[in-house]
Amino acid sequence: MAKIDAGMLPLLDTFVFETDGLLESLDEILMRTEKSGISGDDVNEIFRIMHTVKGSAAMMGLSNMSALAHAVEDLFSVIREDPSVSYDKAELYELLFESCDCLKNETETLADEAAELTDFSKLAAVIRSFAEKLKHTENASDGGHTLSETELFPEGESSDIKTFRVVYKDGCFMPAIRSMVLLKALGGCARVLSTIPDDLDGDSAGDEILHSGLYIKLLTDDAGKALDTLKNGIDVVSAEEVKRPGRDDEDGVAERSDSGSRSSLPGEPPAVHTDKMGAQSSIISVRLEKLDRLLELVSEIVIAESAVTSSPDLKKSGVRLDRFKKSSRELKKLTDELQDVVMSIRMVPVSSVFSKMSRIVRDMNKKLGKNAELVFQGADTEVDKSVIDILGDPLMHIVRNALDHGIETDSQRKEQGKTEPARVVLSAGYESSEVVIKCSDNGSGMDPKRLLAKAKRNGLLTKPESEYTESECFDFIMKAGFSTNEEVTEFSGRGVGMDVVRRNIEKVGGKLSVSSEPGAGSEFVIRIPLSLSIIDVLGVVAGGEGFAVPISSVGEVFRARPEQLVTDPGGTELVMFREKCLRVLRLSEVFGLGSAKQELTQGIMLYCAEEGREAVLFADELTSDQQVVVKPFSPLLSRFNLKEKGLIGCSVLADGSILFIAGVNEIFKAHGITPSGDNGSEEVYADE
Amino acid sequence: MNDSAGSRRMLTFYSGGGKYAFDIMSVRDIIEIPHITRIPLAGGYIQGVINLRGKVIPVMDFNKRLGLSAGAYNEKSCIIVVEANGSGYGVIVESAGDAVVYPEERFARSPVGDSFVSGYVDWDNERIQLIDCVSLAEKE
Repeated sequence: MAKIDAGMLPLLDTFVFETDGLLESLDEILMRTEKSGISGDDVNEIFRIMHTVKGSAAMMGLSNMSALAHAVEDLFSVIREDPSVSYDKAELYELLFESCDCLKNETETLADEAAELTDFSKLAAVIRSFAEKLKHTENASDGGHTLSETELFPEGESSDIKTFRVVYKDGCFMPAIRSMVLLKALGGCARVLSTIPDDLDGDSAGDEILHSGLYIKLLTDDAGKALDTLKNGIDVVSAEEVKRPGRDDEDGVAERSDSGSRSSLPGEPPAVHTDKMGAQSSIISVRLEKLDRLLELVSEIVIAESAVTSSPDLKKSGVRLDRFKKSSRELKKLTDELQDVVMSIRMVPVSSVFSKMSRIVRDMNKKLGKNAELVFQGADTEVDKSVIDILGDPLMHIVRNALDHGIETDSQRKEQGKTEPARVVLSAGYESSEVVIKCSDNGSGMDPKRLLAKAKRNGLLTKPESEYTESECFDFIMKAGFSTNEEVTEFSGRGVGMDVVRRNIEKVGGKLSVSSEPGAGSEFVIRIPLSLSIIDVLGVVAGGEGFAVPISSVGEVFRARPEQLVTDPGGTELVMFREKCLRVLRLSEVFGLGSAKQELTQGIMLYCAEEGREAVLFADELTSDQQVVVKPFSPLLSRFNLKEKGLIGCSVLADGSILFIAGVNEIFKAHGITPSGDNGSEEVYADE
Repeated sequence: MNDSAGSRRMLTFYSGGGKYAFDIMSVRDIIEIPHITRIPLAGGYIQGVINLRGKVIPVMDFNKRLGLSAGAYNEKSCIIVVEANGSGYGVIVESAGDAVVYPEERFARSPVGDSFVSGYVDWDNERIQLIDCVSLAEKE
């Protein structure tokens, strides 16, 4: 049976998108308030989120999600009604996080017809019983802080009035009578204005005093003496002065004071709230395809503009073009700005990825009994949306690794004499045309010798042990089938992970590197080009036609001297370069451009290395280096296998002409260049 | 654009001595022949790629594709941009004709399954061969 009614399917995307957004902000509120304490605004916000999720899930016919959201909503309506209600905070947050995760997972699997709706009734029942417990404690208070500030401190009460709370011994006989005696005793040093409960003769007064204690409001010149008198009362366990909120310290009382008297003044809405409303209404969400189309249009406009302003017809006409030139300069300025703005629309701050990490750190801290704090630096660094999408998974892996393998437990840290708190720092910034994301921890670090030994056990060595440098040792952890943690944990240690992370980052033209110091911590650095579709290329001419070679693949450009050149008896051209003997691939032959063979010493040699394969590409001349936007070939050309033969795409240049982009790795594969040693710098060692 | 029940519209063109047509629904554009960039490694009937308002689309030679005599291209020659399975491509033809509305019953489906020509329309004392854009692009 279909999970979602066919009529609702068109709304599924919107539902998933909106619900994800809501749950994301719920997660963020929970993370923020778990330590600091929850304010009335937060409670309202959570209530509102759950209410919306409940409503829209019900609309989609997802009764399971709607029931779970309903349970949480009810729970929060209890807390909202009475902000001072006491509850087990850890338990509450556990429930909330779990519900949030359940709802998130459910939205993720919605599109998958095969996955069934998850049954949340158990969790919902747990939440309901928790809410029941709350309601219960609300009625029969536990003798703790049960009076809210509004009750205790009415508006406009003079600050001269002192408030005391007296707690009687459990099972004390006739507390109401004892209270009256106590008040009489106070008569000598203070004037009693009122008490809570106010009617000490009343039937319930005794019970109330036993539960919540006796509150006394009085005017006195000698608060100390009054307090002493109260303390000396018969069966009195404790007596203390209760301070007005606003003057009190940052304990449990402060948490509640936000939602109490101070913020509920009429005509003076809390500032935070209005800010939030403002932020919400000034953001709209747009489908990415629309932005892509906009970007495409803008580049077309730029090209069309240059076609107009530098049209050959203008020169032919022989007319003075002063005003035309002025206007076209103006136009150019505007189109440049337009291009910048459109590019910036796609830019998203990395904080959206970072904040997801705080949740992971929290969960792992709990499960592993560690106590690491997560620090963000440069979270407002903006990168292209497509980069953000790619960053999420690798970063999650790295952060998990840092907590699992890197950070020690508190007791281990103490043993090692580490005084500073365990810390994971995520930082982001720009370096030239790259985004650099670093994740560093001050945990145990990695020992290159141990890594090497393990690599040896796992048969990953490709050259003599002694030849490995420290950084090469760290590279092992990014190799398939290598994991430093002996046992497999829930979070990491399966030996897949870092190699997948590295491959994913490299797939988009990024680089991952690791450095570490045993005992002091490790650092993982991800470098990703600012925009994925824009790459730096070297323009070359081969066989009379222009091509572009991605700079990331080119190691060195040189001219060959005659003594470097060797020809194999079979006719293969070779070049001796950096004490290695490498194949020379003539680009003109690679691309099937029959032209007179050029002397190898006349043209340009490009030393290229990709995934351990290396060879030298030969071109007639070098033209320029530039940035281009890569466009894949039309699917209608797929039968020509252009990519497999070495052309990975094309690019439209500013003048409207088309340039083809060579894929170095593809050329190597097509021409039988095999990887030498795994790190690409040595002759084949392991295989022969 | 089915004008009314039972009538269809096509864009005719002349090439290699014959009269052909594309269904107007698949035609995106008719343009002068711009500079065509030859694609290395792709030969035969593919002439290269052109920049059509910022999009790079492949262009084929209609006569070479159908194995007709080499085209007599002149200033009347043009590229008809058509769409197959969501991607556009250009077809160089000797000259473009008119948009013709014809009654559906004049269309005779070709019994040859695997052909560039999907059927024939006899119109104005001429036999027009209706070209199937998808097989023109994709047929081996």
